[in-house]
Amino acid sequence: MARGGAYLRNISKLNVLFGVGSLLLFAALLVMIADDTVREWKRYQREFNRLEVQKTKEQLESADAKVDKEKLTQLTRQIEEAEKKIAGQKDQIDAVQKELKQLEAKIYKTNQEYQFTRSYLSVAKYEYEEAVQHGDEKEVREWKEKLDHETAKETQFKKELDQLALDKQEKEDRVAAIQSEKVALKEKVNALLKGKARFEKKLKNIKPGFRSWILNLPMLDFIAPTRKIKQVVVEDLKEDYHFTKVPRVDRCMTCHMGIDKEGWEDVKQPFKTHPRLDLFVASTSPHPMNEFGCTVCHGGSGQAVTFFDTAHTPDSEEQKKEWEEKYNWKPQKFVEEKMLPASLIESSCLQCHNDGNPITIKDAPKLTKGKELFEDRGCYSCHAVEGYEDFRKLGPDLSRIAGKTNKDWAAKWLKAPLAFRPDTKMPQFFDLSNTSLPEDIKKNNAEIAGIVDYLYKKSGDFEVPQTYQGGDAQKGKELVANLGCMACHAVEDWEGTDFGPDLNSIGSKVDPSWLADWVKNPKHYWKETRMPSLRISDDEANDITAYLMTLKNEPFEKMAVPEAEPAVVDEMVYDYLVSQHGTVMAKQKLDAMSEDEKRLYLGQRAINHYGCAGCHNIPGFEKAGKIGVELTEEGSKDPHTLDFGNIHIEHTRQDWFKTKMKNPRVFDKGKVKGRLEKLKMPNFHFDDEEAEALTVYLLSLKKSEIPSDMKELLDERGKAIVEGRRMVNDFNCQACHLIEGKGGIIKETLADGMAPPSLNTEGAKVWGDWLHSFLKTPSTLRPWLQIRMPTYGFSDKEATELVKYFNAVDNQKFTYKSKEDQIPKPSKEQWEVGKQIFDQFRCVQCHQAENIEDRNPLELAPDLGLARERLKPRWIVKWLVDPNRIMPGTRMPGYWPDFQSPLPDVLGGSAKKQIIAIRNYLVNMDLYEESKSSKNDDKIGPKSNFTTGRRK
Amino acid sequence: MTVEGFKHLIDSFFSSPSTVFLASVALFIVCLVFVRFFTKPAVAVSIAAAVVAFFAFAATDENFRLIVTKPDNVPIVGMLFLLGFFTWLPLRKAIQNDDRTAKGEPVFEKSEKDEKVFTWPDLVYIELICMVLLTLLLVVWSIVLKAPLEEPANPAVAPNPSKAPWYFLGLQEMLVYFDPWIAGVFLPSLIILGLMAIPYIDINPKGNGYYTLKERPFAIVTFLFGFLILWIILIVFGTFLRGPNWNFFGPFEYWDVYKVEPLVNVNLSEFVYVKWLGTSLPKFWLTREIFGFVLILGYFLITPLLLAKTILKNLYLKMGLYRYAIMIFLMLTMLGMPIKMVLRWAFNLKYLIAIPEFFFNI
Repeated sequence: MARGGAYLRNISKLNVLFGVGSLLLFAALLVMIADDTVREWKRYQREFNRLEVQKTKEQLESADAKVDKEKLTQLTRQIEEAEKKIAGQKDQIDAVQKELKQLEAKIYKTNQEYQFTRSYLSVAKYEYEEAVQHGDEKEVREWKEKLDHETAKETQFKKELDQLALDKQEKEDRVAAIQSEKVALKEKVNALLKGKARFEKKLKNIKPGFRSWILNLPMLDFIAPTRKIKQVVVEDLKEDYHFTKVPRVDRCMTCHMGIDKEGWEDVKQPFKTHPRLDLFVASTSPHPMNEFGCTVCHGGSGQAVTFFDTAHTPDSEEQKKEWEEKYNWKPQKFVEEKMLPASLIESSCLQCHNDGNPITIKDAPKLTKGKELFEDRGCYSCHAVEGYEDFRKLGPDLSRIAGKTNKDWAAKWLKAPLAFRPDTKMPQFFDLSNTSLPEDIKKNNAEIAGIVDYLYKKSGDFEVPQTYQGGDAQKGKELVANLGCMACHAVEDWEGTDFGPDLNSIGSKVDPSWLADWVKNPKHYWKETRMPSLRISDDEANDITAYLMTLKNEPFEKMAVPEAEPAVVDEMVYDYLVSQHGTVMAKQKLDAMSEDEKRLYLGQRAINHYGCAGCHNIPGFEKAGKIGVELTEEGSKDPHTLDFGNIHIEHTRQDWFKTKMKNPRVFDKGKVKGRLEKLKMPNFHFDDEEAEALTVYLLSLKKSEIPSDMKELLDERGKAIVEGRRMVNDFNCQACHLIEGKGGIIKETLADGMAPPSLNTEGAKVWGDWLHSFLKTPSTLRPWLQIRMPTYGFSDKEATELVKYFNAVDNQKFTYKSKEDQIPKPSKEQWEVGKQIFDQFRCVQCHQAENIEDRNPLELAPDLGLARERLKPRWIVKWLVDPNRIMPGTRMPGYWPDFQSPLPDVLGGSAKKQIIAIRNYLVNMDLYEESKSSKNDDKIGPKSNFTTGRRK
Repeated sequence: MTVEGFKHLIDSFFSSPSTVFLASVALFIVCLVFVRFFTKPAVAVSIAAAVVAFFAFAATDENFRLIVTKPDNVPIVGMLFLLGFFTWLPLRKAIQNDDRTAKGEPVFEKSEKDEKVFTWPDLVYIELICMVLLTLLLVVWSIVLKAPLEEPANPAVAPNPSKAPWYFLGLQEMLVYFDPWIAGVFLPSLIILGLMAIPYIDINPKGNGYYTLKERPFAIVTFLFGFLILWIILIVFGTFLRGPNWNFFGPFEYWDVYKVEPLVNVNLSEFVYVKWLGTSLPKFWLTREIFGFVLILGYFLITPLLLAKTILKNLYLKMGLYRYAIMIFLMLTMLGMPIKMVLRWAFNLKYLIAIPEFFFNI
């Protein structure tokens, strides 16, 4: 077959096909390159660059505006004049410069020869050394000659070079001398323009131009692009890929370009400055970006560089909507640890600061609140969590409940705790969202009746020393107001605290004889109670009881008592029996039970089912375990293992936690479940804020992948503070006292000057041994106060821990030096001066223990007779120098304002010497007292003025 | 009928593997019986158009779209159409050739045999153009459908559903009915060995170099059954109809992770001893599973004999003992798959032989 029309196929059609195909392929390749080049982050970098250029221009302008224009013009003129002068000497300069050029050429040439010679010299050296070791004499001789020759040459060249350098310097000096005036002026101009020059330089660097355009071109941008992915590699904080751990690579700053720069606070995202540069990101902060990266706290995929792949998580519904519109946001399925929403970010702190150090996590208020709530509401009672093993049972002891209140009250309380006490910590177990159908309510009532029956049947006898005989309610009211009860309890209009139970309904609850006994000695009824003894007399107890019994809750009293229907009891007992014995045995057992036994059995099983013994001491449940899920690693639980039921929320841990906290039974909605299968966590009625705080805390309970050297470990002092704070919270010290700048709410209920003292600087102020004994057995320091420091019945260990705490807070170092050795001993002269000043300032007027009845409490101060035993000398000095600094608002005058003495005649008018003298007198009042002639150290003690009686 | 009603109808038809599988087999038989009708271009084009129309309609459904447009699944959709075309084309040619043979004319391929064309441009130029166009297709495809990196594998959390690569989904489907050592080791090896054995078993000299159906009905039907029904349909199951927890979902159904199916399968031994004989299971495994062994051995030993005496008499005579034995073993193993499936659907039969003591179950 011949060419042209003889082919099987139509060649011109194929040509067209080939042409079109090739063009399309070319186009596709261009699209491919474009697709590869166009990246989300580049858009942000371009935008940031634009903003930065604009900003720098503005800064440049403002710097320019600051330049002293007049001076500049003047300088410029001077420079011109100087230049004119120089122009007059042009010939001279030209001549010198010509010489300089020749000289430089010569230097260049000489230097080259010098370098070559040195090179030959090295060779000669090496060969000579080799010849000496291995060669014959001839070789040695030859190389020796050569070596000497080269050495001589080298020395010669060096000499020449040095001379030439001197010549050059001399000529340069000559030129400089002629131009010196101009150079000095130029320097002045530069100094003037220094601020501006910085921005000019920066602008030149960042301003896009031809060069950056070329560098950023597709296919060329692998060389040195100006727009590129930025990253930090954090070696120490690994990322867990399940089969291997790799250093964390965070590229967030590729888009968040202003994150570590000040001055970008008010721009739009992603360019904003980190809101806490003092704490994070900045290189001077405790968490610099280079060492910590971003994702170890924020979560998300650090390597990714698009909004979607990094797994941003919106903080709220509004933000979600906004993102959906703006970024086409949807949940990123492929990242396990998605970014934490901003409002929950504090949950990351604990992975390093997990020693429970509240000093370092004070910047995490939500986390702290969540942890406090977790402890305060007793979550650990049902849920095991590492670190909470030895926490006490939260609720009152029920082992002798029959002596405290009646069955009807208990049943109604179980049904509706909030109806009795709106702010109670007791959660609601019954009549909740999954148990509120009529048949459920019948079952609830049956269980309630059973529980109450059980508790009363098992209740031990409680004997009060004396029955309540009546008292004066009015007096009682005053006592409650004045003794300090309101530090922990809300009463009537006083709502400043919710530490202990609100007393407003107590009259509808307790037996008056029980109450009188409780008020006097709380530990009689409940050994572990935190309620302290206020050393109340029998009469006082009766008066207080009389008053408290008047506080009734009428609506609660009128509430119907939940009744158990026998048929329902049967059904439920059967259900419980089946779960243990199988259906046939269950039927037999049920038939064999009397009605009482059934209720008792139902009560016992219900107590077990709901875990009442987690919080309360209940007879028969001494060894009961925790009924809830362990939460130690709840924050790293896979969301797939959480049952979201029919509730349509995002399937994330945080959404599940938050929803659960608000309504623990909600995930039963729309499910078919038997009574015993239903969710049983009670409702704590948390509000949104509390639910969020708890969510933060729960999220923080996770497996920590942080190497131990990156974690914060507490030192002795930190541990003492942590332990002390726990006690301070536990015993509510801050209700009365200002400690670490916090507390003292009781002040609001008391008259001026009647409030308990501030404990600021307490550790620096008082001796540890004194504080220890005071805590164990409080003595009266301020007899005019009606409010009493309670007797908590601290053990030695507890008292020691508190002392350690106060000392740690004030950073007091422990010493083995005895107290006596630490107290300075004045000479007789100094002592006398001290006494003189003491008298002159009339210290005793306020600091006294006697004749205080008619005095204004504001003018009274502790008895100084205690100074030696109680106060640390060093602190006394600080106090005397400026009392107001230690206790703002104190009535104690500062006698040496600005270190100026009001007594110019004493000790040469030296404030320092006077203060030391009076201090030394205060701690040695009896030392040279005439009545005490003995100088025996052991007998020295400020006993003469020591008039306080133990216990008022 | 409303759109939703129609979708519901489809979903309820697709609601179990048995209906879909048996319907596919039925359709397969109908197509083969009326192969002349179905290979008419007008009919074939109409069917293709109907399928396209169905896809277009179905794509309006969110759940369907979610599965079909998943970048991994797009090629499988394409494969279905290609497969249809490449099944139709040879069958069509075979029918035409058979007609010609019947009339005493030579087959198509015979008439083409003497013609010669130039390597350039008739071959190489076409190849070049194909190269260009296919490269174009691949480039555009890779730009449009991204292949994202998923999360790092987590041994504690398996993706649900966990699916094999699409070409292994047929094997994965077999895992529903067989133990891993059969579905994952024994049967795949046998498929490869069986394919290798074909040239030695097949002694039919006809059909070389041209399409024909009449001259090789056994070979073609067996192949099409094995490939279309036992391989492709199972891939379609695995890709489009198996959802979370390997539950079966209709094409428009939402893949609910919490959907539950009853777990009520029982072993043959339980049928025999507990249900029929009314006694408890024997403790010794051989006594317990003896019926299963008898059944399996009977299937592989007695059936070939019976077949050789009856309907496969001619074939047996033509092939000889060894060829016949190998062929019948492969055939029975292949048919064992659908048989086990039907037993499972009809009787909830779990295993014919179940010896957990040795991890041996059939």
